Amino acid sequence: MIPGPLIARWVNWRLKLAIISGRRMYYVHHLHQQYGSYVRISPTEVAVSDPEGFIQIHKVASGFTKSIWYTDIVQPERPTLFTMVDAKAHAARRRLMARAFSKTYLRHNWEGIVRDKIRLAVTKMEGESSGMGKMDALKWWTLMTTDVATHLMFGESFHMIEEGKVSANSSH
Amino acid sequence: MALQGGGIGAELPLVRAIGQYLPFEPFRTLFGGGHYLKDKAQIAVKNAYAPGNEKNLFAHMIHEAEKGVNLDETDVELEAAGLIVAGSDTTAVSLTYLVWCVLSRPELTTLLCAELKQLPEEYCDRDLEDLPVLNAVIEETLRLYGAAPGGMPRQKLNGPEYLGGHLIPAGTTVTTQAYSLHRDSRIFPDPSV
Repeated sequence: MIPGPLIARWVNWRLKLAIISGRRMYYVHHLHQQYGSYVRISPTEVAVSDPEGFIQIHKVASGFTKSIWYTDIVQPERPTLFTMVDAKAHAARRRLMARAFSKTYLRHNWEGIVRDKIRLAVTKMEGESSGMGKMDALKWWTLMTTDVATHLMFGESFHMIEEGKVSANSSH
Repeated sequence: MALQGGGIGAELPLVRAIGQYLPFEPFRTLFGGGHYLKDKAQIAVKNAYAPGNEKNLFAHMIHEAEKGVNLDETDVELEAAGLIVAGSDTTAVSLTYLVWCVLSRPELTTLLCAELKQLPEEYCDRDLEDLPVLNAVIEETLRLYGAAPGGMPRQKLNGPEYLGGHLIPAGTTVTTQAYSLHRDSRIFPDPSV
């Protein structure tokens, strides 16, 4: 019998409650401290915090594949790299993207563009902190990383660092 | 927002099913975010196919795909949208934690600044790879405050398996949360420092 709270053998309510309140990670961590490296957290789910178990689950060709959670999160009929369960399809898609994401390629083609955005964000941070005596690091990093990501993926920046706020173009 | 909506949708399908039809703006943003991001992702497709236009990472992917792999515009849109979600907020949150970790440890701040001052005037990304303090700071920030500390749920469908002496029936979801593994004193002595 896998250890765990009694309720978890019958219903997933307690786990769902932790998920809804955004505390699943802390709840599961607490259960690990209480019950050990293997905890039954719902009728159909076991949490593992044993390093050996981790390797056994995540090593190549372990027999464990991405759970139904991945197909539930987006359009199931169109899996992407993140949601693909089939190992062969995943490998093929990864091959398509490998070169564009190689260190050499990224440095050669994108280092300058990314660096300009970092400089601009840091200059803006300096400006805000010298004026107000404090600055919102998360705001500026978010604008910066979004500009970088949109430029790399879309081929055009949303120029949110310049505007200093989340622009109408953004999804946030 | 779109990913939050996706996450909630996966955990509570009924809430998503009803939520997206409720006439309140927050619900629409939360559960309709996927469509919105998809609209934006079409820019990626346009730019990737346009000859001589400003390049993006997908121009490359499409070029590779032309050699005979099955990949259409919708796939490119979805990958682009996915990578924006995966790459922007996560990196911003990790950077914020990194700054906080360094500034709340004055000794570490001094050590890191001393190391960075030794960089040449015109340094590049390659030079940063050799800095031990900087890289330790990055690794430790990711260990304690990585932006995706959750479960990585997996399932074995083709039969049961023994894990740590426990019989796990086929189809059981097993999750291995980084939050706990990264604080395991068997791997990291003094894990909370």
